[in-house]
Amino acid sequence: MEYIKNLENKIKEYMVKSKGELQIKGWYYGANKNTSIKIGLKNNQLGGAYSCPRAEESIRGKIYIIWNDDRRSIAILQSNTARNFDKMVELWRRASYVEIEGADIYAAQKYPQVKLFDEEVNHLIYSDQDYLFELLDEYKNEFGSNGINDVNGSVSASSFQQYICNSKGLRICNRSTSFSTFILGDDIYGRSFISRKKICKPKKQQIIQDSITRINQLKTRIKISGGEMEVLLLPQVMESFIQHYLLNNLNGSNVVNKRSIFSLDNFNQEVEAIRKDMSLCINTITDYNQGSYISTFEGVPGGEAFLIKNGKLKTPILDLKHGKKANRKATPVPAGKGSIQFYSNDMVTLQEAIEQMDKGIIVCDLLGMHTQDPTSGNYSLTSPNSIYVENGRVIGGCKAVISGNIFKDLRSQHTKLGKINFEEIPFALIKSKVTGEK
Amino acid sequence: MECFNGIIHKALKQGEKLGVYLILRFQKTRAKYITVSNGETDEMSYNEAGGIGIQAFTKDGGCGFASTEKIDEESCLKMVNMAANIAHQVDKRGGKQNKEIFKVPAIKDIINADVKYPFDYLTIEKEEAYLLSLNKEIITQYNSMENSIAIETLYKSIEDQWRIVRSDGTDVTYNIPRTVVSNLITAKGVNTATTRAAISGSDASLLIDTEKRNRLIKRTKNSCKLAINLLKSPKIKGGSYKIVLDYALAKGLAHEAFGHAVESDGMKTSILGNEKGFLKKGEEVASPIVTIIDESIEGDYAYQPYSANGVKRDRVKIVDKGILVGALADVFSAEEAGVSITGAGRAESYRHIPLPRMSNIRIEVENSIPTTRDIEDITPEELYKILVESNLAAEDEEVLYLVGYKGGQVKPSQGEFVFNCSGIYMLKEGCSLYQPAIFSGKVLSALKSITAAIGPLKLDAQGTCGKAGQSVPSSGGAPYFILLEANKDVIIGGE
Repeated sequence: MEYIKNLENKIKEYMVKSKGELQIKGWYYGANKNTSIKIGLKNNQLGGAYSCPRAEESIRGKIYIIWNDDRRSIAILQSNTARNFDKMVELWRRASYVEIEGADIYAAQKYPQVKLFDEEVNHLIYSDQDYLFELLDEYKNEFGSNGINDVNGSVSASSFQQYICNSKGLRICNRSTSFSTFILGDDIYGRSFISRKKICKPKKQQIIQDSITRINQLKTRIKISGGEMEVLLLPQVMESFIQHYLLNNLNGSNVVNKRSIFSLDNFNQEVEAIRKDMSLCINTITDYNQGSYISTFEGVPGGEAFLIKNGKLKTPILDLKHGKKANRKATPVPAGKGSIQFYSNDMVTLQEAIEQMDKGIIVCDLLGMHTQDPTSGNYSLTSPNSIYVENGRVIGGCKAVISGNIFKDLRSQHTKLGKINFEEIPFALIKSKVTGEK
Repeated sequence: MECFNGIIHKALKQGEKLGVYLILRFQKTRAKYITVSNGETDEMSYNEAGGIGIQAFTKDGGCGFASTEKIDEESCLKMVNMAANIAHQVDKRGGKQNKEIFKVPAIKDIINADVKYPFDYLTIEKEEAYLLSLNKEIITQYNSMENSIAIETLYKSIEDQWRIVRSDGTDVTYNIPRTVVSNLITAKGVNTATTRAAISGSDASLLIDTEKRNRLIKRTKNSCKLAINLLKSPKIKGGSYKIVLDYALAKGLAHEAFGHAVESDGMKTSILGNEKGFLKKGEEVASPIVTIIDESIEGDYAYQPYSANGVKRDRVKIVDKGILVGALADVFSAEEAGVSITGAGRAESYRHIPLPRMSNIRIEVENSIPTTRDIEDITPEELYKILVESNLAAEDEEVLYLVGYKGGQVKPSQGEFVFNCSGIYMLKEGCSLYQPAIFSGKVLSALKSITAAIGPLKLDAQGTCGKAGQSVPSSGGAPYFILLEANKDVIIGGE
């Protein structure tokens, strides 16, 4: 691509001594050329001023520079960067900083083979946009024929050309795609999907049917009284707990800078953080997962790494800088859906979990996760849409406020994890304090 | 932004040729970011970015959108073609049409926000030095044998320039300068706790002016003390209580409970809309001493004088003495919601489609009890004394005081909202501290519980508001403290 050629030529111009304090010693950059199309449905209607179909073309990325005096700069890349390089390089230099124990430019020997490009998705962008419109029609029709009056949704397809290069000779150039969609019925419950491949029929049916079932279960409203009870966190809810509490506390920057419940010593001593049968790992090399990649922009190869294995802390999520500070090897970093796997050696089915609920709620959504303090593990969250279950039987939709500590929950013998078909993240059955409206 | 005149002329001509009405949104951004962690610079960057967003409308109201970050003639014309093509497709496929933009009068204006210190007044190295000294000054005071404190200082200084041009001759240029310094404090001892302190505005005066700098230091020290005290504090029992909120939490209440529920694009499903999708004007929604206003204020973090559709932003009274009177409306949904256009359309960037949003939202309460002290100096014990002396609380009454806004969320269709605090005090002689817990309320009744307020209005509670995948700066406030009677529809989540 011409942009990349120009950018590299400009960088090379600044690697010579005559540039004085602007002399560049080392560098890496990652850039994505993106073409995408998105179509929306709002209140049953296609398009409109707020969700009109849209197209976008962009080049976006990041550049990291080590200057000859060892100062560092980091900046975003845009389409105009190569053209304005001489001006930008001066501004980047002015914003350079001293990075004690700053990482060197990195290039690994081997990079994984991982499938990230789907011709079918690419086709949706450039020649067959009908499918995108038809999918939204299908949502509207399926929901409408099941008593759901208001449907919102969207579908989008993107195609990327990615470049990752550095001053140690790394040259990765690959294509990838992304397909995403969401549906929401009666503003009560919805599901989303994102992958590098087009949604397959069974998965599409699953998100439609799951939404219809839950919306209808939630429509009969009851008020519940509080107390300690069984709380079943559906996979999409459990995912938000994993993201907010586990990943935030496992983030290398937070661990190194003492903003995590875990310290570096905890990892060195492999402290037991959750129950022995549970593990959490990063996997960024599964074909067609949205969170898969060949390399990070820094040049660290995609791969697999246990963050927690059999309950014990193994490694924080480490980029090069924090790997160096922690005196540990850099790890792959999570990059979206599908890159995190959480499981127990003793999983139950959804049916088994519901049957054992004498009195409890199935949490379908939560408000306020981003307001919680991840470092304490404490949670106090409102679910406007939970389903009350008594003796294994669904009674109706209710509002509930749940409170507890997720780390205590994940250590409790009572907690169970379970797998649902087509879901990457398990559901969790925990015992929690519930405040109801009665 | 004048340099784009040539591109604009050609784009509008192209729109005419393709039979579409255009809204062109040019954005140029300069931004400085600095992160200091525990006395060391963690990251620092200077960036320039920008692009064009193009919204096209056919004569029948079909709409398409395209964007590019290349501000040149070729890219712009390519995107005009794309947006026009999509708009025609929408018509063909029976998509929703909207012709409201054709009715809006044209306007020409240029607004340059008045700032004390321009964007380039301080070099980024100077700003880094200020932040390092601030971070170090505080951190050394709070580390002890028993507990450790980590402080991450984030500095963000942004200057957005916008030019909005429409096919009807509208041509509006404005800039939005904004700056924030925030400190994220993590205390570690037997447990771990995190709190936050921030100060925001439009320029580097946050670092330079002694008064503002001292205010941030005072706020950060209070947050450090709170984080340390939280390490040993228990959880509160869940339920309904008489509650005092600080002004930042009161802003959260106004923002989540009312601001989002009166945004015109959601009126069809909002609890504050009737069966026809019109705002329930005239409905009693708050106590008669309560008024809620949204207003773009120059110098404020969430300032925006014009909408992203090129319509002047109005001051909007949403609730007047307890009665619902107004909504935050943009061109496209004001009529559907039965309200006037208030220029509320905001977009995160040129890549996004504008949506009706808040700017600075505040709760005003009549007859607020005066105090001459700064809010940062009023301790929970002193607050308790004021309440008792003013006959707002009895000596043996259970009153919770919630401090430090940590964000919120709302489901306007169900009328449910939440927001969270950094800590909870049980007000009494020798107040006790509890862990933060969610404030969960119902739009239609929460504001009816407000019975009194203490102190003058304070409007600098800063935040970021997320909606439909777009984040925009938000702010607001209230009198220093507002008092809510116990209400079964307001639950404090706890043990």
